[in-house]
Amino acid sequence: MIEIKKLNKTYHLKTGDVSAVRDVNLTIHDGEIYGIIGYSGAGKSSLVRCLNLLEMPDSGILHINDNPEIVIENGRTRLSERDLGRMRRGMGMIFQHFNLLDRSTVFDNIAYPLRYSGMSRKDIEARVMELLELVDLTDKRDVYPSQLSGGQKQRVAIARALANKPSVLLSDEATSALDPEATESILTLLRSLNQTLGLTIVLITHEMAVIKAICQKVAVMENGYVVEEGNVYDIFANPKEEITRRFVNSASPLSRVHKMLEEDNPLTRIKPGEMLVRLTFDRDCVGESVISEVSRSCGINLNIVLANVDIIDGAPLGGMVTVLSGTPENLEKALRHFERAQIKVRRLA
Amino acid sequence: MEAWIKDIAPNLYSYRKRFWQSVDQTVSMFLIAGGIAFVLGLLLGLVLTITHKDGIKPNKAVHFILNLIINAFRSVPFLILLIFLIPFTRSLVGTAIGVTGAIVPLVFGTVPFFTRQVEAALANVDPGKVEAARSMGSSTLGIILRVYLHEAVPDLIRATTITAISLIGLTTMAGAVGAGGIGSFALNYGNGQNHQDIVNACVLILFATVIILQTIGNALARRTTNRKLLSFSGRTKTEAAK
Repeated sequence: MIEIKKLNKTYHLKTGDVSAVRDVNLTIHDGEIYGIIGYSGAGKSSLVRCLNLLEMPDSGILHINDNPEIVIENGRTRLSERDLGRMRRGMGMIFQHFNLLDRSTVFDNIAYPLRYSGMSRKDIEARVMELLELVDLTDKRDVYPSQLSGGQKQRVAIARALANKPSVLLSDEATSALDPEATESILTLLRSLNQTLGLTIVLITHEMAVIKAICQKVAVMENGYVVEEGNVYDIFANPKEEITRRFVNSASPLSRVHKMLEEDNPLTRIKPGEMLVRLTFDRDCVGESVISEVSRSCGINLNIVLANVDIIDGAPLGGMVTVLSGTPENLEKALRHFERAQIKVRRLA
Repeated sequence: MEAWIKDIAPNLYSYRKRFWQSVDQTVSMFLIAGGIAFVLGLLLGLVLTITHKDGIKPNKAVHFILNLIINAFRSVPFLILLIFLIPFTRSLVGTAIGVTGAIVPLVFGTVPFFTRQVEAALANVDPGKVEAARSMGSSTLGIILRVYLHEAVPDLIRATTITAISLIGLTTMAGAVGAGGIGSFALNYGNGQNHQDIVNACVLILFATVIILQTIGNALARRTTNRKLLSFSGRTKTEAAK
């Protein structure tokens, strides 16, 4: 378990002070894939670097797994260099630009954290081969990074990060420099590592699609603060903050409706007696044939403009943009019906 | 061959013993001063890099002072440095003339230049690689040896080549103040006695040396870019077993 309490980090730049992390409190449980999302400059990279003390926070308390609590005050901690090294070896880290050694082969890159650690040559070789198998790159053992694709480089970086069998993997925009196919394959690999090794993954990204694909929990950061936090499903189904809504929309095909409204698209143009609404069906919704039921019992017509179902963290989340038409009383009745069925209705026009 | 040289460069031929002696002196100055300067420059370049405010062991005072000293020596033209250092050289090695006396000013003239070159080479190492090494729990020494020096090899080779070539130039200048070597041979036996063939021979041998150094340097830098110098292209055990 990773516990972060009252973490603060300010950079003192020539242009002024920048508070990158402000009073952040987070708890990340073992085996979770925990996403941290925010626009660039939101403080997410600083936050993750504070976790393995690549950046020294100004103040705060870190409690990582079974290690003793690390108390940081005035940008200092009593942790010795030795303990710091040990703590870092318990957490692997991967990066946007892979950060492999260009003059070392794939084998030597993965062996880097193992060498000079008291491990025998034979054991190192065996462990590296095991890791190569894990990331499916056994045939690239003696190749140099310059001969690999981006996705392959990230696999090598993952193998290297896991060399010391850490329980936590920190991922800093690990898929941001990859094409969609490589992104998909790296996310699949991360998910399978999470399941087979029980690896806790803290994942930084600015893409809500990445969060949607593999995370169970998410924290949204803005101006150094964590503004919203919770299960990915709940955040998608019911975003509270404006910035969260923007992120959720960025990953939803339904958000196209706003553009359509702006452009006065004929599909979203409504006549008197009509109403444009966005319906959200989350996993608590009851009754599967709500739409036809409402149409029949309330005497209204539904004209579907956009519809989509996502599977998030294993559960379906449906959304629909539709034009309702009928008498005012019937429309009112329909809205009440939706409410009873636990369908969220947002009126767009 | 001998007859041919006698024919086209009669003066060089008559002073051939002196010529080889001066080549020997230049080589000695180059190797000794170069060797010392290489080690010192590498060390100081590393110190500058890691004590930089974004380095792995930031230290304002050390960085500032070292920077100042290097700038100071870099700003003095070598000929002036030679004269300026005479008392210091004499107190350090007992003489200010000859090959021994030339070593000290040559080192002082080369180290600041090479240090800057090393600093630039190390600055080219992607900070991300250093960060990755830190995230893996690498110590400061581990990062210096296994990331900085390891990844900067091609750039360090280029820096060494440039510095070596500029050092050859400096050794000839040192010759002018009594260090011997090709510089003083060209000056005293060539120009001084109006023997153009001797000057030509000196130019030719320096020209050849520089070309050889640059060629070797380029080849080594190319062969170490994105790979180790000695990569075994043979099949590995695991592949052979398949």
